[in-house]
This record gives sequence, C-alpha cells and structure tokens, in this order.
Amino acid sequence: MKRVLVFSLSALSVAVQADNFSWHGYVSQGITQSIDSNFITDNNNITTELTEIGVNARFQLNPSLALVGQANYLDGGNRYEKGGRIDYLFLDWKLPSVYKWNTHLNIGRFKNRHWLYSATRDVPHTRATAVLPQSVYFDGFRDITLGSDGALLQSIRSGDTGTWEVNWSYGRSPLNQGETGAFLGEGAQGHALQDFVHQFSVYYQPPSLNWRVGASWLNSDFSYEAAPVDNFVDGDTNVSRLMLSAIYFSEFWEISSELLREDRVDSGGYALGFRNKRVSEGGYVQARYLFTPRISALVSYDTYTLDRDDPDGLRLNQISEGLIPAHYGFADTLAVGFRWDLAPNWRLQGEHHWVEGGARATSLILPQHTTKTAEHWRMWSVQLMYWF
Amino acid sequence: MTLIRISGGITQPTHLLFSVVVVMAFLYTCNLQAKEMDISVIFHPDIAQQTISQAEARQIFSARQQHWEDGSKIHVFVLNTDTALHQQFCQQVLQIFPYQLERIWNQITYSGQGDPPHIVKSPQALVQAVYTTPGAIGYASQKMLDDQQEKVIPQ
Repeated sequence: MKRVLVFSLSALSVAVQADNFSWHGYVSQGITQSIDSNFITDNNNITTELTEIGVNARFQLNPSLALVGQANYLDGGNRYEKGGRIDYLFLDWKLPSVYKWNTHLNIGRFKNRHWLYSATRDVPHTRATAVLPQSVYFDGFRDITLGSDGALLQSIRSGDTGTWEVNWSYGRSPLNQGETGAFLGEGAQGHALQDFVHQFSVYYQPPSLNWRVGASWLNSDFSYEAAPVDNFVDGDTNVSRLMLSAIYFSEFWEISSELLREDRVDSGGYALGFRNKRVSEGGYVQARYLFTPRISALVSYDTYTLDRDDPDGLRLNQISEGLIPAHYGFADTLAVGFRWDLAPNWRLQGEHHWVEGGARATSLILPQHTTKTAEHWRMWSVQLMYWF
Repeated sequence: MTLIRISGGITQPTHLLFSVVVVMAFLYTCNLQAKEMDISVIFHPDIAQQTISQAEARQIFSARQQHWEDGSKIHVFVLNTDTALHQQFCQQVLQIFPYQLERIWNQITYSGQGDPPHIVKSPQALVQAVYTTPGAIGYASQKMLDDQQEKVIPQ
C-alpha cells in the first residue's frame, strides 16, 4: 500500500511539474549575402552568418503568477551584435479581471508588445522575412526595441463587439557598443545610455477577426558620456515615435502595413553646442499569398526618409561637404520572398531585397561609412528553421 | 446551446468510466450545410463548466486563455493544421482561418504568454487525449463520435 502511495505521489509530482513548467525553442541556419553594401556581409561575401538558436521557458508559480524567460544565440552578420543574450526575463502577473478586461503586469525584462511584429521579431518562424522592414524594425536597434527592463501592463477585452488591447510600458535598455555606434557612429568610444523608454499602444480587432488596427506612441531619452579620448562629446538625444499599424486576413491573402513618424532632437554628441532636430518618416506594406497552407509567397515595399525636409539627402551631402552621399538620406526597399513548410515544425524560407539608398544600411553618417553602401544594392537569404 | 452527455468508454478499458461532456457548439449560429461536418467541442468530464460561447472558445483554442475559472490549467488538443477536420473547425466553429490561429499560437508561445495546443495525429487520438487528460478540451466530428458507438443521453 505504501509503495502504491509513493508511486501515486511521484506520478502526481510529474504531472504537476508538467502543468507548471513548459519550454519551447527554435533553431535556424541560413546563408545570406549583401551585395554592394556591408549591411550583412563585408566585401560581398556569401556567408552562413545567419544563425538563431533560442530556448524559452515559462514556470507557472500559481494560476496568476509565472516566471518567463528566453535565452538565445544570434549571428546576423553585421546587422547586430553576435553572441548570446537574455531577450526577456520577467514575472507575468495576471491581475483580477475588471469589467471583462483581462490584465497582465510584466515586471523585469519585458517584451515590446506595441508594434505588429515586435513581440516575435526574435523568432525566425514568426517573421515574414529574415530581414524585417527596416523603416520600423531597424536591426541596428534590435535589442533595445525588442524589450526593456521595467514594467509592462497589457489589458485585453474580448466581447461581442470585438477585441480591444491596450498596452503601456516604462523601462530602459542597456546599449551595447554596437548600438552606441548605431546611435552616434562607429567612432564613438564612450558609453551611450537609454535613460528611459515610455510606450503606449492600442489595438482593435472586430468580431470577424479578419483585420486589426492600432496606434502606438514611444518617447525615449538617451545620453552619451564621451570617453577621455573620443571623436564625440557628451550629449543627449530625445526620440519620439508615432506609428499606425494595420493587418488584414483573408483565406488566401494577408496584408499588413505600418507607418511611422519619428522626431529626434540631438544636443551635443557631435560637437559642443551642437543641436539638431529632424523628423524621419517611413513605413511599409507587405502582402502574402497562400498558394496552399504550406506554400506562400510575399512581396513588400518599405520606404524611409531620414529627414522629411531633405528627402533626396542633398542637404545632408551639402552640410557634410560632400563626404556623405545624398543617398544616405533615404532607403526604399522592394522585397520578394517564399515560404515552404516542409513538414510540421520545419520551414524553408527565402527572400531577396532590392534597396535604393543607405539610410538604414549603417548607423549614421560618418565619412568612413560612405563608401560601404552603394546607392543601389541588394541582399538575399535562405533559411532552414525548426521549432519545438 | 445543446448539451449532450456521453457515457462509457470510447476505446477505454471498462474501469475508466468517465463521462465526456460534448458541447454541440454553435450549430445554430454556424448555419452548417448538410454536407459539412457537425463538429463538437468536447471537454474532459471533470470540468465544471458546461457551456461555452464562441468568444470563449476562440480565447481557449487560440491559447489566449490558459486556465479554467477554477484556476486549473487548460489542455487544448487539436489536429495538425492541414487536416480537413481542423480547418473546418477553425472556419465553421471559431470562424477564423487556420493560419491566423497558428500565428496567434506562435505569438503567445514565443513571447512567454503561455503554451500552444497539443497537436495529436488522429481524430481518435484527440478524443482519447481529451478523455484521459484532466482540464482538457478539444473537438470531434459527430460522425466519429457516433462511429465510436457512444450512447447519447439527450438533455
């Protein structure tokens, strides 16, 4: 009898553990090349620097509290810093429902849920393309836009009139040297710090669920502490972003679009007393056609203007005394892609991008970058991915 | 909403005298054609809840709702997304395209919000899994339930 009891308790323990703990992951490897730009690879090399391996886990402490996290390893060529990172690690607290609003509070390194694809941009098989539209999802800022250290509040209300989702978050992200460079330029020897990022978004989806629209707002301050020997000086930057998002689903078509306006004010940084204001604009539209549930194709158009008052980059070229080509003032990209689900949890995905302009090809705007991206350049990739 | 309670084992040994509550979900709202399958949402018998709205079914099958009202874990069982029964369930009952559902599963799973449904290989395995897993929910065609010689007790 005692043996039976022990066995039963043991079985119960396993069952409880299985109920309370779950984990998932993905492995993806591809080949890729950027041609006439060092956006992904140097010297037009074809490379296998397209690796993504990640494991996430959720430990349910009780029905209203869970600990959630993800560790991963990334190699995206020159697009972002190579290596391991903790993408997110937070306590997910389900608050009591109020007027049918189901609310979760995430505390820790939470995920950005404010944009259409921001919550899953780190997961290969959830992305439409390996390289997302750079106007919105600029890879140079991948880590700081994926999530932040702080708190996020998400409220969802589903009913007969549709589903409303409201997100609010406040936090900050550490910047690595690559992101410091992406913000000021490769020559930055000091340390950039995000003082805070404050975001709010709201989405609506009708009962038919065949479309979803939303708007998001972001405000963030950065500061830069120059190194004793540095091409830059101490400075501050404020960025605010307003974005509109929409996605439409039909049986064979999926169309999505996001439009953004970004205001940036720089003080110092480049020189003592330097002050610059600019408004960047851009957005993308992409459409996917499903030939079968397993095979689909995509076409997308993405556009970005660094300064809407200088859409051709002529003033940029002028004030840099010709060192920065005018095509660094904009970036227009046409992309096509295919997706083939070879078997459950296995996918082959490929894409080709034709790009005019270099505004999103490198960080900024330093003379040493100017010869690295031609006005017209291309990139492509093929990825094999598995997830569980 | 019509409730049908089924007693007895489908392929179970006789000592597992569970009863499965089958909700003939949304038949009157979905306006099913005669040629289409009658699809039912099925629960594990221990679940106290005996009715389900379409909005709630969407929340559960999309993995947005991970726990029952009593706090116990919901285990959702579905067929592979390219099977006819799954596609009909999505479009007739949930009124959502299968790829949309898969998209939501991925978003929830890989942003740490919960677990996706368990995918099983056959309709029989699905019923079996719901039958034997506390907190489980799934779906089945009425024809399959009939073929399993279930005794239906009308409410």
